[in-house]
Amino acid sequence: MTRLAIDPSGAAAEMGEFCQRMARAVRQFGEIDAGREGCSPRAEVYRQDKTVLWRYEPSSPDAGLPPIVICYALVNRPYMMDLQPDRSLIRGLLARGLDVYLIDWGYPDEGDSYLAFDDYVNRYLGSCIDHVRSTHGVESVNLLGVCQGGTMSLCHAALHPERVRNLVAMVTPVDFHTDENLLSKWVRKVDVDRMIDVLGNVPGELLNATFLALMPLKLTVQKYAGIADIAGDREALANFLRMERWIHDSPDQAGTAFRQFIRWFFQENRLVRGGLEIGGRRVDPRRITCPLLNIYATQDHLVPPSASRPLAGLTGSCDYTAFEFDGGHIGVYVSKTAQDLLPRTIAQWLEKR
Amino acid sequence: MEFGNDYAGIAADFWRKLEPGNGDFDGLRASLTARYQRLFTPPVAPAVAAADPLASSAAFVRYQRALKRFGRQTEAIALDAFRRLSASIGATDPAAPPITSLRELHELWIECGEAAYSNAAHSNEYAEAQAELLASLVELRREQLLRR
Repeated sequence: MTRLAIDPSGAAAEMGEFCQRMARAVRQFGEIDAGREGCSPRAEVYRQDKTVLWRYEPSSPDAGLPPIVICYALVNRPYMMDLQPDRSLIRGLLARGLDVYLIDWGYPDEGDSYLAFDDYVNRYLGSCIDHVRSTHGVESVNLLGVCQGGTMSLCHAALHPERVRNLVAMVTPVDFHTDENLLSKWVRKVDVDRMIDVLGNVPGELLNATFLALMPLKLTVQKYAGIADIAGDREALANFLRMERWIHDSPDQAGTAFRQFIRWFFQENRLVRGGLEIGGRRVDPRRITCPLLNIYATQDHLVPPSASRPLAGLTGSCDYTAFEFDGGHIGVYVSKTAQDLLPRTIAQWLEKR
Repeated sequence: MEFGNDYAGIAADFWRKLEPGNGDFDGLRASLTARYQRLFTPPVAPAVAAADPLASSAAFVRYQRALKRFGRQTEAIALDAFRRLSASIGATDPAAPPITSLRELHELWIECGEAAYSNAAHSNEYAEAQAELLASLVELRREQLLRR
């Protein structure tokens, strides 16, 4: 007894069509220009070392809200927030009249291997926020932290609560030791000190291979076999190429900051358990008293909801909102559902505060 | 295209099995588990020729041991994935729909592979084997740098 009921002649036709479609798609890939990094008009307004602060051109009447600064993760590149016109969280925020800034950490090289987590959280993030505060003549900004950038934003807000008016954490790991967190289970076993002592910086390719290894069949073979389904659809193929370019565009990680992030957060879970110090100052999440919007994704394989939810109750804020998005870690930015839903959710939440 | 070859390869494996009179179940199992195992193995193997002095270093020996240990993990996962696939294909539950296309078969192959992998990848043994593989690669890299 078997469920296999594949008609041999039908299978031969199916395989022939698959091969033809794959060959066609590969030919078309060579003819497609996947574009540059991001799609919305913007200008560099501040730079410190390799960190660049971008300000986006408004596309709608000003909503009259304080500027919003997006703090992206150190891993991967921030143009995921503005991948293409119909897949852009940034465009969605601009359309609602927000004044949007984006921090781009650049590509660390050997000369950056001694940059510490303190440099990123206090010096670079702090300088970017200070630039925006000064430009707009405001005491505090709205801060939107993404993934690891959300963790960094939480640390910054705990250290400098006066600078952050409202904080939005998107797919942000808070409790690194929950049972669903596969990445954490792996990383907890890694001798990160030895790795950094030898390598200096951590190659982006190593991180990328690790991320793909979380779901090796779905994230490789299933995805690539799916190319056959979009052969002939130039727009879908261009979307695919843009996404592939982003996935494999993984900056190396500054060794010292990486070592500290892995040890303090992944291995010792200090944000939740306590004992976190950055730049010689204790990071106490209870010092975060601004309103918090915590957006996490139900099917996130990188930052499972269980890692994000503990933000509730961790801080000193009495204005906490959780928003559960039905999707995955990347779907939060690029899925069709997210395009209207998330900018609207964020903008409406900010308008009330 | 490499992954497209997997799709075609799985189809070909089953194709041979479907041929009348061909009962080479062991061959099918070996082929499908090998395809699984390849995908479960990180693409980080360094190229060290046998004549290279590095090949006799303690770091390389450690790396080979770590690779073997990790290989035992991936082999077990691949076998579990194949068992799940076999069980699903052979399911007698009348509610289980027939598999009528190679695409459906491929999707099932992936589903079973991910299920087996997820089950094992969360274990302490897997995390330790993976961490040791990474540590051994780091030591190998150190050895390479020292010899330059």
